[in-house]
Amino acid sequence: MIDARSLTKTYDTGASEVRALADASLQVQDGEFVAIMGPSGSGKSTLMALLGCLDTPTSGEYVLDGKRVSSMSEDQLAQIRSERIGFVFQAFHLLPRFSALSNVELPLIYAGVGAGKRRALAEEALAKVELVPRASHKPSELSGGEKQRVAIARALVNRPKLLLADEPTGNLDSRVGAEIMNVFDRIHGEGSTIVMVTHDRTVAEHAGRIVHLKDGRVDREEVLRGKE
Amino acid sequence: MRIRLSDTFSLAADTLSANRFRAALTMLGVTIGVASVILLVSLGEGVKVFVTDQFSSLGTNVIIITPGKAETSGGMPLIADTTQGLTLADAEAVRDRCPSLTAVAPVCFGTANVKFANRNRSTLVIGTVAEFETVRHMHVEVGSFLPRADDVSEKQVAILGRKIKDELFPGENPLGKRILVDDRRFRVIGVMQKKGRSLGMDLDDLIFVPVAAAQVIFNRDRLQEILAHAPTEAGLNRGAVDAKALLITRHDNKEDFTVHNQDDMMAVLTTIMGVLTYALAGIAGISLLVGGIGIMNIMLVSVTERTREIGIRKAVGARKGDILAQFLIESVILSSAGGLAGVLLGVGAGQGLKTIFPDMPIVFPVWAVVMAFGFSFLVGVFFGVYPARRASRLDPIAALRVE
Repeated sequence: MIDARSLTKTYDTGASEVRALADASLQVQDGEFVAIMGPSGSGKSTLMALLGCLDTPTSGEYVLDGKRVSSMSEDQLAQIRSERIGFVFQAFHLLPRFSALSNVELPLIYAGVGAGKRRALAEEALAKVELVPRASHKPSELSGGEKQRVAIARALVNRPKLLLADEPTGNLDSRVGAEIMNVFDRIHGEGSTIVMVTHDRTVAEHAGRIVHLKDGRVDREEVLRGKE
Repeated sequence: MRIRLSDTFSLAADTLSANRFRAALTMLGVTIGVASVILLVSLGEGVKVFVTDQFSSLGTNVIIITPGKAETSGGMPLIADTTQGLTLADAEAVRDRCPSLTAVAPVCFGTANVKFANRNRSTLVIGTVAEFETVRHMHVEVGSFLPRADDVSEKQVAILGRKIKDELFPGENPLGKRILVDDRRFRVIGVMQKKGRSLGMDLDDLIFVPVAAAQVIFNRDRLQEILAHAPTEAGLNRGAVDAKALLITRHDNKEDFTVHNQDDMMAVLTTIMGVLTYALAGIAGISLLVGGIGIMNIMLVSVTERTREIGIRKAVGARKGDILAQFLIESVILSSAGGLAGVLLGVGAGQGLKTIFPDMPIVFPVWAVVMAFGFSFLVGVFFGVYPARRASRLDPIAALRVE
């Protein structure tokens, strides 16, 4: 699913160049659940942005689902995001004025799906996260856990090949966080490929493999027994 | 697959309706611009139509020959200097030898005291011939007009303008009555139709007498002007050339007179009115531009406020073009809705003015309404492109980081 080789990313901040990622390589198989851990500044977020096609690497190669995305244009990347990738963010990133259902519909709008079909697919996705009764609520009327479930439903609605989660439990207390992780486990069980960044060892242990980043490189990989 | 246009529209409309007050204020700039363009153009067109009507009420396809050589034309030479001569014989020659001119009327006029019984009034006395009726489109209501031009004997007959009739013969039949014009007796043979005012003259406050009689009253053997009419413009132009050549020959090869074409004068006036109208509309158009700048300003604010929203949309698959379209459509909706409101306001205000001041000449030209609205649409596109491009170029990662 993911074949990233020697990815580097340098940010030009005017006076100095910041090397956020230096020679990071990562392979993820179809159906795998991988957690990425590492201290802050180790390049986790940058790697996620690259894996999620929100950005392109300064150098290196990235092949996602058989497509060489490292050399794609902005609009081609947008299309990849639209068709193959679902995002779950730490800060949920829901549109505040829209209902839960409309938020879930959002990716389908940009995939050009008609209104009727959008609604049906969005309801289906909300059902997967057990949030159908809250469909008409706005984010401000939802709890943190519920917001993250809406975000997960949004990430799943266009049936992506790859689900990327950036600290999905970072803004939630541990009990709600555990609930969210159960949702991830279930989704993984249904066959989705998941890559998740986290600080939290307990959260990371839901994955089958933990990739440790340090100073913009993959420091070590850890396969969790009994998971694979 | 791309986002559907209808979805982009509903997104834009939705965002605007979430900020109704702000949207309304932004639209107001365009509304005022469009309304003032429409109102000014309508007034300008109205005045143009008014002036044209005034001229046409004095007859169309008319040339006016006045004594003296004028270098410029413009305005009505109703009152001209008569030191150089145009004579009745000149008028007769023009009538007889310029066949394309179907009606020729010599005119001698002045102010005289008109008296009946114990009522008297100082008024305009126009001495002319029957053809005047054809040339100036002034007709009798009762009785008859002046005798034919070839019958220029000093017949002491008079035709009263409507106002003179009402003043001197209130509720009476004036036909056959004898009035005194500067102590000369005239028999009333007709009353003119009501004509109203034209170009500042009251066309009902006058009397007509035969031209020869007027020359006697004003003790003058010359004419102030010779009017001539042709049914077609070509005929008129031909007649003007013929009359000029003829009169030069008759005046010892001196061109001591001027041939004015009333339609040319009207054309000059209409052009001036047109230029004025466009100039005023242009000035009003500037306020439309100011409205456009207001839209751009608010759209830029909106892009900044919604940076995170743009980031989210991009993260879930929105292309540059999708974001661009959304913001551009928002600004076009703002400007077009403002424009539509401006059309309603402009036309409404014009109708209101017309109701309050019925004499005010206001004409709503469809082209002006369509153009003002079209322009407001373009303003939305023009001033919307920059903010929309800015939105579409936001880096999704940076945009998502904004709180």
